[in-house]
Amino acid sequence: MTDLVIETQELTKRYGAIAAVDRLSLQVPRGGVFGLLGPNGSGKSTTIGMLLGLVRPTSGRFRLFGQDVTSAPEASLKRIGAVVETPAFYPYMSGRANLRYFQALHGRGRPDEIDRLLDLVDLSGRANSKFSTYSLGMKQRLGIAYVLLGDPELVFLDEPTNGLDPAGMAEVRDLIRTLAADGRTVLLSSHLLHEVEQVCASVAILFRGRLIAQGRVKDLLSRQGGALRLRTTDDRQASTILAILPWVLGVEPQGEYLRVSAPLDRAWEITAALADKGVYLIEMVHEHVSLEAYFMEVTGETSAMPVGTHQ
Amino acid sequence: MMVKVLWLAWLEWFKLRRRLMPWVLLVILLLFTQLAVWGSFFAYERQQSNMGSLVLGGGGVFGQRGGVRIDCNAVLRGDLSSLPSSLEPVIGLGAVQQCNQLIQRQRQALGELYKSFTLPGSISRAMEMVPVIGMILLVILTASTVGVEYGWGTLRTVLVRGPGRWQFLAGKVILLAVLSLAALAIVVAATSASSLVTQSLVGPDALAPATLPTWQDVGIASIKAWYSLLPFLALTAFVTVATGSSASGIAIGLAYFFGEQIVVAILLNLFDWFDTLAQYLLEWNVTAWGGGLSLAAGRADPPSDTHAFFVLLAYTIVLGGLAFWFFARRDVTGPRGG
Repeated sequence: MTDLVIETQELTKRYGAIAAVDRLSLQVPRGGVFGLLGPNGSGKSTTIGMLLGLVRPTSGRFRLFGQDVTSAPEASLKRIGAVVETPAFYPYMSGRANLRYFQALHGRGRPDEIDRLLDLVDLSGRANSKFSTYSLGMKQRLGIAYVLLGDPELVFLDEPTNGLDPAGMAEVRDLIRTLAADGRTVLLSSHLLHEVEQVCASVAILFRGRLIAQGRVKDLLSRQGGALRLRTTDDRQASTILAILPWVLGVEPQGEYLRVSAPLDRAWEITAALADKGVYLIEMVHEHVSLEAYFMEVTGETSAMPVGTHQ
Repeated sequence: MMVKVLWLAWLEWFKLRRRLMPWVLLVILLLFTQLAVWGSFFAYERQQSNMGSLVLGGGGVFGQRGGVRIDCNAVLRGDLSSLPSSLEPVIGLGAVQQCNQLIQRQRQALGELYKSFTLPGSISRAMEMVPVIGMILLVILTASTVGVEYGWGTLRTVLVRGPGRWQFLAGKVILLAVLSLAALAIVVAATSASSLVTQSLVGPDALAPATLPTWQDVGIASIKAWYSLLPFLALTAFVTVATGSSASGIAIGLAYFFGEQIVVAILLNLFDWFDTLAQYLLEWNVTAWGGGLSLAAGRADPPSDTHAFFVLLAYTIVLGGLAFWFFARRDVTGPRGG
């Protein structure tokens, strides 16, 4: 049985007639980066708010670290570091003073931890400046330092790359990978699909407050099937040969290619079946289904997203 | 648990002492209380120098347009040279009686002034200002200390560190109660220092009243002044938590303070039955408890000290309880401003 750090059962939050989160049953395994993916307003922050005790669920239950803490999640917060939406700190205090305050509030961590974290997020040079003078990127980095105070087992990062330039975003993604490599569980909430795809091993997709899909990214994409594009010495005959294979879901000509819907791990059987009948491959390309395309498909969103390819 | 709350109160102080606002409020409180000491001192000096002057006549009765200024002290000593030569003996006798009354009244007034700038009466006088000035400043401090957590969105950042909601609010409330007590101690110290100076300036021949307040009276007045602040601390905390805004906390806290006095003054004139209701209103009891002035003074009997004590206690518990209840139950969202 998988060790779950977060498990929700039919978790619901309603504001009047509107369900911000609707019967969410989420399972986050221990270790690695778990993506909570969804457009703005899909219920990501509300879900995180409920797990952190900031928002009272209307119904449903949840477990953190295997314990049902629906009515009193505060008990688990010692093991969690979290930033919800934009990091908010005391504007009249320096970054260092803010971290000192929150370290004392948490009651964990050594004095030198603050310097180490400020170094980690590259804020040592501005540690004594008032928070109100920080750029959005610096605020995000201070937020990450804050999250890591007390060396938490579970980290919630809500849109951590908001306001960062491309280099800053890349740095934060590297940092997130590092955190997970240290054995922590990172719950990354984001509406940026490529960001989630780059750093998350598993995802849950939320849409209009409901869970649309969850699982390992690789599994979700392969479950979606993917496709192979072929060029052969005789496309017409190849079409006939492949169409009768039971695990081939479809074959359709597409320009000078044949598009074959079939699992990638059975590609070798395609080459064997064709060669058996004297038809030979000139080219075989795997059409990679991106998380973005997958998201569009499962949420029923209509905007056409390009499907990336790789060999 | 109590240790944790005290630790959270200490951490509140870690934050609050870095803000300019509490220091500005303290300076304002000190300015007002110092004004009471020095204002009384200068008034005493001015009145003492003019003491015993009586103006007789006017309109040219004694040939002088503005009347004749009589030195009562000289008249009472038997020196009648300041009286107009044309003065009828009967009027002269009346002038002597007037001088006697005037000097007696002025001695009483000076005695009251003397109490206001010398120890320990000056401290009692400073404490009489606390239910008004101190209350206004405490409303501002409470609303700001509680409300900024909503405005800046830091409440979320704090709560996810797991201090516990009621413990966090309790830390704030305890700190505010302690700070208000500390502010009163600072006022006592500053008033004492000023009073020693003014006392030395007036010298030993000053016109001191027959009875001066004791240090015990002063201690009781100080504790009563502090106790009268607590219901407003609870009221402001409740409103600020309920609305999630410092501005609302300040506005409603102050509006209630002044509003109740105005409403009570009007309704006491209109309805007899309102006398009974007024006995249970917050500000009416604060005024009765602290011995301060009220717009409705004289229109109804003020409650007794015991009655006021329990009414203020009830307000503190109920409003404080509501503040904690709201704080524990409400969802915490992002920054709200104000």
